[in-house]
Amino acid sequence: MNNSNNALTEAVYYILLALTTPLHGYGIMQRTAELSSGRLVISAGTLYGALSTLMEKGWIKQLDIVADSRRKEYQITAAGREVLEQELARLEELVANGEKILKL
Amino acid sequence: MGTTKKVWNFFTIAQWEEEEQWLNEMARNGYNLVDVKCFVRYVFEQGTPGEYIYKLDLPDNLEHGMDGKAYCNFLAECGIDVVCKQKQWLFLRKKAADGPFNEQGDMFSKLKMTNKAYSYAIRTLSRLLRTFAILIFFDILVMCVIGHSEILAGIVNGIGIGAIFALTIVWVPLMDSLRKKMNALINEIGVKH
Repeated sequence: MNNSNNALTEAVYYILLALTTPLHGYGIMQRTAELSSGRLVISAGTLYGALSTLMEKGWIKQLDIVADSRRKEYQITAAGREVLEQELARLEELVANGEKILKL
Repeated sequence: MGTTKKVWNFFTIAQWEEEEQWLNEMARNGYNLVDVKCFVRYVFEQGTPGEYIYKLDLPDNLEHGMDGKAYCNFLAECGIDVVCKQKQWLFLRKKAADGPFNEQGDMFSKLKMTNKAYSYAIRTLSRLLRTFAILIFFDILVMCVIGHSEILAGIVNGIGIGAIFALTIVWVPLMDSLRKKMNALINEIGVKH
């Protein structure tokens, strides 16, 4: 996954951030809203699609289902964390360049 | 509670946004959708105005190899009820107090939905063509056995001309409008994303 020019969508970025702690579907929606101070509302359809895509990419994994709950929990993988770090570096570059040119 | 109201209405698959708007307006006026029959008969139940918000969904079952049931379970987990199904179309609702389904002006969701409606239109079209091909095949088969039949040829020609007419007048413009909408959204997302 060395596509450094492949920016993450805002939804994927926040989903990955949220999954640094294990969460189930609805928990992810609440956490991403919380992280973005209520600005980002991820639709259930988008989240559902994103979760399966991220699993296919190996950026997140499903945790073993707890016996008393049918809810599936997800968590970020090492590969996912690496993608997040690359994205953070890309975002920092964007901000640095913006500041350099606009605030001189 | 309990008072029902039945309304005739019709929306094409390219008009899902208009349909959503109408259902939400009904809900704001205290009429909550509880069932849809044959795509045109909408059943509402009187309730608290503004209690629910509605949304249409067209989950692609083949997408990511997930089955429809898993998706519906996921929706339930997110506090979203599946009110009813019409073919692959889902009529969803949730409590308005729990917040909106998605962001205001969420272009990506809109594009995805338009794309799904477009794929649905193509699937329907190919199913129709396949049915017609099978019909012609059996027609030829029957004629090989019993010899030429004016009546049978007339029926097949009639259905064929009817199908072509319907496709040209209704289906092709419908698919065209979906495609144009999709292109417009792609251009917009290209700038804003």
